[in-house]
Amino acid sequence: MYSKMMMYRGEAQEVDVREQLLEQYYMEIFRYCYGILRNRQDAEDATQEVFLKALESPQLAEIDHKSAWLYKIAYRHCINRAKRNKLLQFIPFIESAKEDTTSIEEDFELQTILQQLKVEERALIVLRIVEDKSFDEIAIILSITAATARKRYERLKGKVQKIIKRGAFE
Amino acid sequence: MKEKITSFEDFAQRLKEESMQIEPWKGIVVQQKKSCFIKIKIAPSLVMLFTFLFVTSTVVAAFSLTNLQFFGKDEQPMLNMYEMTEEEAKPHFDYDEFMGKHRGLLKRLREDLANDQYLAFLDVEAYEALGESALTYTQRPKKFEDFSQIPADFSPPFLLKEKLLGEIQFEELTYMYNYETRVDNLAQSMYQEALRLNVPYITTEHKLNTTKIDYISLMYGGFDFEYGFQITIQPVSDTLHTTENLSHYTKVVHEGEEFYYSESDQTLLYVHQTQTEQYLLEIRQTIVMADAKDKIPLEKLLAIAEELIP
Repeated sequence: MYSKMMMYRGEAQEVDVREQLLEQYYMEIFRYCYGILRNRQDAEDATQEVFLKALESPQLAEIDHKSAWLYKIAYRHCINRAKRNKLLQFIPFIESAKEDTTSIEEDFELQTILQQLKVEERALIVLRIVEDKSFDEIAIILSITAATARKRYERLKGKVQKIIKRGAFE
Repeated sequence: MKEKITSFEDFAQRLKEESMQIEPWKGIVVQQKKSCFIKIKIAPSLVMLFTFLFVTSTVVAAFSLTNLQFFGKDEQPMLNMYEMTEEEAKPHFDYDEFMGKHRGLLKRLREDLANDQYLAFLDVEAYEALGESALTYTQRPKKFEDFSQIPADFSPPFLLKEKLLGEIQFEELTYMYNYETRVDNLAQSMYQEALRLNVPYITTEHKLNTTKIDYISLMYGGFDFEYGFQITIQPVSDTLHTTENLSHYTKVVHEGEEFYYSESDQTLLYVHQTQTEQYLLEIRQTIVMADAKDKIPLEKLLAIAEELIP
């Protein structure tokens, strides 16, 4: 069901809004999903599901900050996807993304460090480092305060440094 | 060959470089005529994230940072859960790295396995570095998405319900059989055979003990509900070692029963004893709320536990 504004704008404009959204943000959201999930196929699926959800949203035309809104949906979606697939295993191996990253130059060292972070932590790292978001923007996406975002990021830096120092990937 | 990562700055740089190489295979998919987005493929991919790796053991770690102790109603200790020290956890992370490169292969091999078979997998390099613990056992998990399709002879050690709290709908059951019929000195003989054949890894197939279930996962709820839950059940001895951070768990006593609750992970742990076995039950909220501050109340997790425990 569409909002009044959508009905007033009509079908043609509605298509424009959707296409514009896809063209403008698809790559960004895909990169973000990949950063969190660390698996190309999962990131592809997640990105499509995020846009499916976004484009079906009755509030689409009324959203002012579409970028933050999409990141917010993607964050929830990827975390849920990762958590729902989390299995307590008796077979202790991490399924890394080798099969799914044929065109991405393999970086096992990077992969090993990222695998040791929680999905929520990867989301924060990707927003700050890859997407170059400010702490104010991160705060909106993650529904926390900017101060908390900054604090968490600093803590994460320490954690990554510890992993590097420990050299689990040597 | 890439340079070794020695600092956070190196790490950030490598992450940036990697992100520049990433492009979706499918590109942007829009169906112009109907102005609706087409979901091409939602593959049911089994992403195994081992942030919560349990290793059963009867040996108590001397230098564990944190532990959770579960006591029965008779005050007798039932289970000690120990958080591994970094030193203890390192071989597991090393093992994860060795096995990471075989992810796709193991997935394919699992798909070809019969229901009552399991696969033993040995990477030669991993065995040389880690010894016997490099041996991996894997099986095809048994999965049911329709409650009515669950076999009648499936008898879990808890009450299996189609709806939790009368409203949260069943979504999926997964279980795995026991590897009890393990073969003695298997790793060593597989290693010798791999050397003889001059192959980097080797596999053998064996019979599962289908009279015993080692792991159960239940999914309830999802996006259409206010909450989503994963409930996992596994038999445990008196000691568990984990790589998970246990420091944020707090003990909760509810109607004489002991639970451990993590507010940050929205997880409740409980040990359930039957006449012959004891099980670790984990109830986890899996849906992230729109407002991150809006956590699921502990009472709701306890109410679910009450529903499950016979």
